[in-house]
Amino acid sequence: MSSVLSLKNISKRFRHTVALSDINLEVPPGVVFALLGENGAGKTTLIRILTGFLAADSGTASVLGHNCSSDSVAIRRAVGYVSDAPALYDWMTSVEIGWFTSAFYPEGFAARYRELIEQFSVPPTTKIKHLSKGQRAKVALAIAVSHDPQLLILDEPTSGLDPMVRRQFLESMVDRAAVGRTVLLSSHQIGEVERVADWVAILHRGELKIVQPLEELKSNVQIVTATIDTSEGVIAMPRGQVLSESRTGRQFRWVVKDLPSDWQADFGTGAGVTKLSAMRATLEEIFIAVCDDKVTPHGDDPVRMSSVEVA
Amino acid sequence: MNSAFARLVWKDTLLIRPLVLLIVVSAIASNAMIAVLHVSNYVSPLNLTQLATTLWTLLPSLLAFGAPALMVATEEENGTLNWLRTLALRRRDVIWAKLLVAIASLVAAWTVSTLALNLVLQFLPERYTGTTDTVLNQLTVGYLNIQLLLVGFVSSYLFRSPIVGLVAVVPLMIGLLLLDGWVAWELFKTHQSVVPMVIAAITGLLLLAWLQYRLGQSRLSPAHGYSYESLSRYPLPMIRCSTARSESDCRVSLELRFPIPRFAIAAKTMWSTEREAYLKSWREVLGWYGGQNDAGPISANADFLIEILREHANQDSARL
Repeated sequence: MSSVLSLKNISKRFRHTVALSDINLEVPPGVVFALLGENGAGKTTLIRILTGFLAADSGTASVLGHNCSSDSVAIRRAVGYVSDAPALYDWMTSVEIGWFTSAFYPEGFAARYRELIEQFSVPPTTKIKHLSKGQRAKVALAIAVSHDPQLLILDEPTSGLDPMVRRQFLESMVDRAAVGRTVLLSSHQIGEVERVADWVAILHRGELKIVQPLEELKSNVQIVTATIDTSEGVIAMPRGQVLSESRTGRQFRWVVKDLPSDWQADFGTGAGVTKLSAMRATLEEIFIAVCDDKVTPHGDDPVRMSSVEVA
Repeated sequence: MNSAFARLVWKDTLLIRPLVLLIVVSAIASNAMIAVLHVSNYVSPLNLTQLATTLWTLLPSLLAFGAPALMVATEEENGTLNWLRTLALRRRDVIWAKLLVAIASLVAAWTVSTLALNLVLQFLPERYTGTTDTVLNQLTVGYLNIQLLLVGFVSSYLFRSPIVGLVAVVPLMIGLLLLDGWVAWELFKTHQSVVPMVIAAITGLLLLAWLQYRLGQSRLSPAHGYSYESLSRYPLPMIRCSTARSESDCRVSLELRFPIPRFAIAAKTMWSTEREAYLKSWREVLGWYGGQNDAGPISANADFLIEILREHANQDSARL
């Protein structure tokens, strides 16, 4: 099946700042696709390019087969979008804003909107300026999904919301994926991404570092710990793609992608290793290994020696 | 009228309603006060007529001045225009709905103002031969109000801030009034008839309507038009704040930077030469002053001032 969202060699600069650098991305349909990255990583810029609000300096972007720079109206018909701070007409009531918006979408929008605000327990006749932040976010989500979009884009939608509202947001994402719709979730809340995402992309300083199904990523990345007998000694790094390396006293710790099954054979009896272990990494550990510039990243060189200083 | 356009008209009507109500209430209340003043015999009827006529001209103009800022720039500032961009609606519907509502509001304000004026004029026996007396004069005032409204939309689409947009209307309107006067005079001189003037006025209004439409299109589609991000590619005036903190040194410095025009780079050599002559002349003036007064500290201050001037000149030169 063709991709819901496709980016080819997308780059974007703001004066001297590189916001996105040569991004290539394909998002399959019917999944919750999480875009992870620290603040300023380029997530919002990427979403603005996808929704046609911003033109890329180079490359092509398409959503549901529509070109992002020339078919923005067609994209907006097929896409629902919720920003981190949706600015709604606060002098309208929640019912009025649904009625106002329903004119821009096909029939059925108003009925679905009413169902949703009832489901979300939003008071219908209260003006938006008198609603809580969570209730406003729910109104924005209801507007974004009432036309049953094929793609729902959420740009850090749960920031500043209480756990109950977050839970409702996350449930609605899973529900949409269950009926074959795609959700693109931009966030730096790793815990909630881990709960709902099928696919994960990690964006760091405008570069796409990892794009993989979440379960596959978590099973492919392991934390290898080796303890040596002297604090001055060095040992060879494990094979596979070492995402990061750190050392505390006599203990080495590597976050390794695609660790071979016979990895323990690399640390023979003569290497001075007293203890070896490997365990699955959490998404947070993977994220930090990719994004934390303080830990030492390594390429895929098979003959490498550990080079970190003693902590 | 399609339903999307109708909803936008509904929304814009509610947005502008407080301003329209304020103008209408002001027109009625001020004319009622003029009637009361006439009955009380404190002010001469001629003065009251002049006041009533001025208010009749001023109140709809206030609406024409404020409506675009309220409907475009305030929406931009509140972020609601940005939210509208995320919905599946056509940009032209947003732009024309705003203009339609603004013109309808202006006509409503003008109608109420005119009715109130005519009512109060019934009480005032001495007619003032001012702007209300001829149909042409009334049409001219109407034309100027619509022109002001359109210029307001142009300015609001050009500038994101409501205040900047409002301030920019003033020079734009002065320029257009000068142009109006010149065109009217030239046409009247050539044709000795008002018909070409009316045609020119309508053409001018249509051109302004088209211009605000184009600017509105740009504003509502930042991917194609201008935006903060695209503007930021160009050098803009900026204030850079730098801090240097250590145990012994804690200071904050501000640097005001302005865009350097291309021609300024060509003028670099000339500036370097001029700079030396400029510093020399300052040294002579200050040295002469210090010498005349035979004051050591003044002479020292002169050297210090020369150093500051030299420092600034070096910074400018480095930027060039």
